[in-house]
Amino acid sequence: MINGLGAVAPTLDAQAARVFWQGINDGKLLLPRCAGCGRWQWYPVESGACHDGELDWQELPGTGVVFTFTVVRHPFLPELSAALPLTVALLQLDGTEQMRFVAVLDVPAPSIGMRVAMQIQQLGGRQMPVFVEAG
Amino acid sequence: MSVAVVGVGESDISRAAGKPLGALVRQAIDRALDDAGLSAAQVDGLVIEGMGTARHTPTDEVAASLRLASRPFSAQVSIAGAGLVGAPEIARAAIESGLASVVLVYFGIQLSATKGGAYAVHAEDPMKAAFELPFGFYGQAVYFAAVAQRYAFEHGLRPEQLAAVAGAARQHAARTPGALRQQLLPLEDYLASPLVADPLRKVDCCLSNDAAVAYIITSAERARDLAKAPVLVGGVAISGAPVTSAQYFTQNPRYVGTPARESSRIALGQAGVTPADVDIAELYDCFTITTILQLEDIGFAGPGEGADFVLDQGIGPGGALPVNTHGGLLAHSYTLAGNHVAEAVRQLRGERGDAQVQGAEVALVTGLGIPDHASLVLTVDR
Repeated sequence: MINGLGAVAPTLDAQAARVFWQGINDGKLLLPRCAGCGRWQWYPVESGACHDGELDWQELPGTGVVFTFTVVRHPFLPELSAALPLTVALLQLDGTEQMRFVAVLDVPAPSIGMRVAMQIQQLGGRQMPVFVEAG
Repeated sequence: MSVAVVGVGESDISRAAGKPLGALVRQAIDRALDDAGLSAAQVDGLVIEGMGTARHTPTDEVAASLRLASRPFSAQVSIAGAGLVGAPEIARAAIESGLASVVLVYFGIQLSATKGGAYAVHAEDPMKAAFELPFGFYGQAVYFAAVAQRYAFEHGLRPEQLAAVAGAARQHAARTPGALRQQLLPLEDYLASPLVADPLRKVDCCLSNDAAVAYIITSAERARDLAKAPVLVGGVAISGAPVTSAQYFTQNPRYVGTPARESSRIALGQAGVTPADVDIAELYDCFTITTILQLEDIGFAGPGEGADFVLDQGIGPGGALPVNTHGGLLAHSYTLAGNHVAEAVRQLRGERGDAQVQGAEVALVTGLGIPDHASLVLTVDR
């Protein structure tokens, strides 16, 4: 558990934000690919990678490897001060080729290349995806 | 037709100016005009970067302030630092085509009065607000720290190497009147600075300040009739990564690197020079790692060898390649590399006194404005 995480609510102005976070609330990791060319799109532009407006949301297993990470120690977001130090990472998720997913790691000694898996934790009254070392 | 930078000016630089941004911009413009020996009435073109300037200090307001009777040419180009360093690309096109003859480039920033400081611009992006902020992936230092960590994985990166960049900036700043961080930074002081996002420390991060900068471009022919020696625009180019600005820090296909590779190749090519011909480099240094990445992208150092270069070859005064000879964004001021343009011009004119790099004839200036990057080659009039 990462105490203090969950204090910043996602902004849900974009349609893609509503689909993604609804998925998390339902216990699923949903990510979009362009319906036209099949490219994974993160972050999606509303008009789609091919600008035809079509995104195809797929459920993924939520496993992958750490591409890079950093331990945040300064309160760039004061609302998350209680969660510091906080390890944030870019992940290469299984099944999404070159796309990199921004995530929080709940791992004591993270390293690049480490295999991780998603858990959904109840934090600050919010369902939050958090990645732990894969067993 | 070639063009030249004929005047540079900076406002007073401070952590908090206590006066409106427009007043800082006007002060920088007046100083640039004075430096060029031109009057405001002779300005007939304005070029600004395309992110904040159009909202904060738009061209109509500046033109009215300068009482420009006619303003045949105004343009915005690229984003932030890339626009400010790449502006001569548009100014040159305007002058060559006869749309303008004297082009003013200006920029001001007032972070003391910006809610959320320098980070806020990223919080406004709806995708970042949906998919990054809830996870604490926020603040430019975090983005660049993640890049630095990947660099360390691929090539190795020691604190001494980042310290060499931060330390060199202080050495240059100590010799530059008006620079904000003039205290020298020996390794033990660097290591005592708190980590903000591993491996970056507070002293790896650029300044936050209130300041403005301006410069003036005209044809080389006209420049030769002015009081000071012309500084020629040998080449200038803007390049962008193939991702949106929201995607840049996470999805850039060449994650460990900048579009300097493309922009510098074009700009140096236009000037007919190679990295080996460059005497001074004024590189966009929002963070120490950014300088290392660009040294590689441009070709001053081999791939993965930028961190070795800064420590072993040296980028401070007397180093193999003097970089950011005024202290850069790290130690001089944060005007998104407008200060880098001003410094390069002063060096090429031989105006820098104790900090003068002897025999400097070719300068490379770079600016980063996500997802764009600009390279500008300035030379003496040979």
